[in-house]
Amino acid sequence: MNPVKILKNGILDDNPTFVQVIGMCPTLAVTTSAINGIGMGLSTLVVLMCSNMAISLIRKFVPDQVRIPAYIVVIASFVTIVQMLLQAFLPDLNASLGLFIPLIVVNCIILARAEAFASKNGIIASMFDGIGMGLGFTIALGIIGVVRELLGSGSVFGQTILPEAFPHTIIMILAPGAFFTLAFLMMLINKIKGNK
Amino acid sequence: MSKEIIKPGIVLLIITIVAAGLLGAVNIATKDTIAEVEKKATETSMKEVLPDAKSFNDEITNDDKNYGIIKKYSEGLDDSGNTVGYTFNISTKGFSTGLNLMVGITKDGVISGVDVLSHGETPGLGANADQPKWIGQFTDKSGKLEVTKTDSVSENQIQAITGATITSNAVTQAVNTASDFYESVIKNNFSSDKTDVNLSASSVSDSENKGGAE
Repeated sequence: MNPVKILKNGILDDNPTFVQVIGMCPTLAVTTSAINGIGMGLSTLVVLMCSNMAISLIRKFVPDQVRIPAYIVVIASFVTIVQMLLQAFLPDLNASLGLFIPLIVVNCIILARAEAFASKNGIIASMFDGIGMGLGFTIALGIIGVVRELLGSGSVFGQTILPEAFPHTIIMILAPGAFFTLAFLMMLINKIKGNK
Repeated sequence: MSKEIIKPGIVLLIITIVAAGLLGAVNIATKDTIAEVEKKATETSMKEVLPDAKSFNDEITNDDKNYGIIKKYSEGLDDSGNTVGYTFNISTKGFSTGLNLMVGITKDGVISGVDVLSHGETPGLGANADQPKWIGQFTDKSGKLEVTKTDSVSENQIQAITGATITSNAVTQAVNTASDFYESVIKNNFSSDKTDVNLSASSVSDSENKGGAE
């Protein structure tokens, strides 16, 4: 398969958040600011890429009946190893991303891609699928984060944008704000797509 | 039939054994480095909340149940070995568990700084407790502090984080506990007499005369 096509598929055609609507838990929970959204997206990208490759590697040995527990063991081990390595060697990065790393285990994108793609394709294709889906996820979370942070805290990437006098809509950084933002963005995307 | 059960079972067993082995190996390889990194982070944080101190004595584990949220404390010394204040490592509960703070108090009982070591507070709300703009409010205050929700902040008041009163209260209570512990326990054991400073600080923890100052 063509790597460019796989990447494009992950970012646009099959965007995990806006098209497949998977991985909603972290999408709704951590997108309170742009940097949180992108941090979560990038951590997922790395884990997704590695787990896709590992699962593609063992896909021929794992019997169908136990594939789901086998994938979960692989993914959970990966996440734990990544977290330990981050704690030991990149403490600064760990301090800003540490919160999200354990959340990745329960991110269904990882399991979905293992099941839908990596268990049926070669290592290289699976790697690109991981990168593509990870980027699609990162971009989607980034956009939601920017919207919520701008309306809820009046800033983007921690930089104050809106004037102090502009009232902060606290609800946007609370859970309901995530649903509002997601709904409006999906409406917008479907509108654009429908016009094509 | 039984073959259909046994084979997948064995494969899964092998996968879990390999995974457990890998996890164990990585854990052994990174354990010491992680402990070192954490120790360094603690030291950096101690310097941050008690900037006047040039060095710190070893952390003492607090076993006074009346001040249960104080896990450890350490004495900060200046160049000539005089006490300049104490740092308190506090583990409390905010909106969720695992709100860890470092509080610095000078020998005059003035708060020299508060640092959030780690927390599990709501991003965008309680998580803002680690912003310098908020946590900086504690610096140079002393005595019993209280949280206010109004804009006018008086001497002993801390302005609450919008939408995160529970977190604001938890941090403020933790700081109050540290102040109280310093005033009632530490000060009673080390009178202002400088020569007492170098006594073993462990005598602090088994003291019973807390509250004597009141």
